[in-house]
Amino acid sequence: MQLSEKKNGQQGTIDPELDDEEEEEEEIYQDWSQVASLVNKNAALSLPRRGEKDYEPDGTDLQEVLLYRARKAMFDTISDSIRGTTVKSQVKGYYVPHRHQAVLPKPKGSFMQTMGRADNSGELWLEFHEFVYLAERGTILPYYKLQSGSKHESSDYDVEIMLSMEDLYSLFSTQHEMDEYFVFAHLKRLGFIPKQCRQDMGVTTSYYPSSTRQNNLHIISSRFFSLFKIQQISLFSGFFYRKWNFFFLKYRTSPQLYQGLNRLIRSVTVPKTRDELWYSRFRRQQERGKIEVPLTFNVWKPCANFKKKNPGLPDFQIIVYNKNDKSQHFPTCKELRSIFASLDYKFEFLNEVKDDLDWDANSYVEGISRSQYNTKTASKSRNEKNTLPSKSLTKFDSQKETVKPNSKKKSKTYPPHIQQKRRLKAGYRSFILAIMDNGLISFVKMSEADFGSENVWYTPSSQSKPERKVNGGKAIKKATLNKT
Amino acid sequence: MTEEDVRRVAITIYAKKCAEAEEVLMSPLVFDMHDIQLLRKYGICGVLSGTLPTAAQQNVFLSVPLRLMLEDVLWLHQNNLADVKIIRQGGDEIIAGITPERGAKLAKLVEDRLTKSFDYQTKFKKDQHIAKLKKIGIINDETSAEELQRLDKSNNNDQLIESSLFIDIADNSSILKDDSIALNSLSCDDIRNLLFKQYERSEKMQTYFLYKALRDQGYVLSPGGRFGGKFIAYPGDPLRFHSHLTIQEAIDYRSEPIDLISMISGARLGTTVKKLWVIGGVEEETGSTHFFSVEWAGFG
Repeated sequence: MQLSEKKNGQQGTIDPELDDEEEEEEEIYQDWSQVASLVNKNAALSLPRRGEKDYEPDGTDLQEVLLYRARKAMFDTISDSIRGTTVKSQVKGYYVPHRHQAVLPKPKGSFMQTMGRADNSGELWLEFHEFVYLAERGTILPYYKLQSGSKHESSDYDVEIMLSMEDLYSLFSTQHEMDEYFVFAHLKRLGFIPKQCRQDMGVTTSYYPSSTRQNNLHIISSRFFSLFKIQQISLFSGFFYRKWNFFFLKYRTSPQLYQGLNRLIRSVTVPKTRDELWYSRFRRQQERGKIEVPLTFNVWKPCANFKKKNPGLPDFQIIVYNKNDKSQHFPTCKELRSIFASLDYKFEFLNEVKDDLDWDANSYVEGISRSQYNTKTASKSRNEKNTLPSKSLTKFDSQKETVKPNSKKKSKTYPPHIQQKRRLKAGYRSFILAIMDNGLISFVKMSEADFGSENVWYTPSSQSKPERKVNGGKAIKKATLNKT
Repeated sequence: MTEEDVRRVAITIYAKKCAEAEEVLMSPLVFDMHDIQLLRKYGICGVLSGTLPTAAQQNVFLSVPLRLMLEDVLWLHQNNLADVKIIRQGGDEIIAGITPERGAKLAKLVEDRLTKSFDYQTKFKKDQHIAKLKKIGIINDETSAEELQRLDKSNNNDQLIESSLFIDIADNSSILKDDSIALNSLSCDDIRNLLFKQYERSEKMQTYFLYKALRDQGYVLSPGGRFGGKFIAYPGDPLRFHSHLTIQEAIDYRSEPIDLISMISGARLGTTVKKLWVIGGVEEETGSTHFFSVEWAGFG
């Protein structure tokens, strides 16, 4: 208290001298003070820019004042920003230690669209990290119910203790769980829908059809030839890679150099098409007992009609890794390959030719395609709801309507050079590594790349050459666009 | 001496038994706003990482808990600025161990806090309501108390106010303040040994000495993984000043080779983010720390 008074006094004495300068500073200076005013007004959320900073302390009072203000704005914002709800809209959540989950007897709120799992009695069960996140937002009130009834037989004597944030954080069982929570909360705040991979989702969608024998046979037969091809390449590089190779296979032109690299590097083929993905999956199933690195989160982009029981393929997959924990390490090459093989999400590189790949038709639930599965369940639920035919019909219609605009959307095909640029930049299968460094999270995208097979050197195509002479650059661009 | 002067930062760390039956310390978190303010005064800023309830859809401005580095705690403990408490019981164990009597006491504590806050809120809301009525002109200063009461009841204001009262979730735990948990507290040296043991499990001790040397010079350090270093160092409070240094992990610079590629990429990255690439080490005989900075010359 004394401190703040002293500083206030200081501010008072300086103010008259620095009036003009201060006004200018206030124009530039936007930091916590902006959020502070936001909190006070409770206005719509528009975030301030990060503030201007100085190079180093110069010992001036002005700097002291600015720093004091910045700190005050920050601390005031934090202490004014109270978490909790009003009596009217309170939702209580009870922590259940033996399940390491929380139960909401009377759940309500929009969070139910993406979080939690309802049981038969209408109670909603939240995973522990969901529970902490919602409590931290002030959406639900965290409680712990002391069940003393059984011990003391004094019947309905149940004591409810409201938990504090500190209590909640003390309930994390490992450091890793806590790190995962930090990443989870970070993504939630950005609007993504993260789900733990180990969490049971109800309906699991996979890019790969379930491995029935028929399917395998199909894959084997279709991939037999290419298998042979792969072997050939690796044999060549394995046995025939010698230093003196160079003397026989001298590179005389630059294209030869790149093509030669393809054969020299022990071939690690990167799956690029549906068939290749299926094949690599099939091979992985054969090689059981290898190192498995579990994925941490499946992440969906923000989406209004997200169904938590049947969400479809995720948009991203994330692994959390704490850089300061020596029991963890950056994935080794072997581990990376096993991670890549275990990925199962909307492989965005399949979109490169056509913009709108229909993921429902290309993903599988219980052995049938997801679109088939969805219509099946929709018709089933329609039959069940026969008692209210009008309602279910309208629901079905509205569902159809929501689908329509998607299918009508023009499919955009990209010209080959942009496709190539995308391939080089984004690679093929990818996952996101969330690196935790004492509270700061860096998201790194790890992806497979295949530079060797890209034809990056410039060869003027025979078609466009005469055109250029006649029409000039612009016309060519137009022509290629039209062609595609 | 005011209360602020005597106050010491309290840091609670959980020790968890991991698979190898070794004790692992979780990251230190600070929940108390006063502690956070005090830490900032000492030059330890940490990383705020909880959702700010009033602006819950962004990651720039965050709230408690404040996550500290282990180096921070070591430094605070060595300089005798903080009380470090190590809790060996699991969170589940602690809440399972609450006796009904204690539970009732804790529940009463929360209840008392809420009633007090409710009373305050009700009074505030009523005052505001009256002020509003006065502004519109329905009542004036001469309106009698009975009239006011009548108005109150006719609009069933009380019910409305009651349903709009705010229940807040506390930051600090009252459960963990219990004596039975604090009882198995360790001596100062034990805590230091535990902290150092934990630190040595993941880092070289020399790295801490680099931290210490910079911290003692008044630099504020924060995790530097983003800039390709162990720490980044600010010349003062990060709220007001840019950082100029990325500190690498300590090396034995007289004999240990420096990876050229990492040095080039570090210095190159440093140029784009306006930071020096700093390596350092501790001289074994004298125990003194030395730093070397590498800069992209941008020459020729």
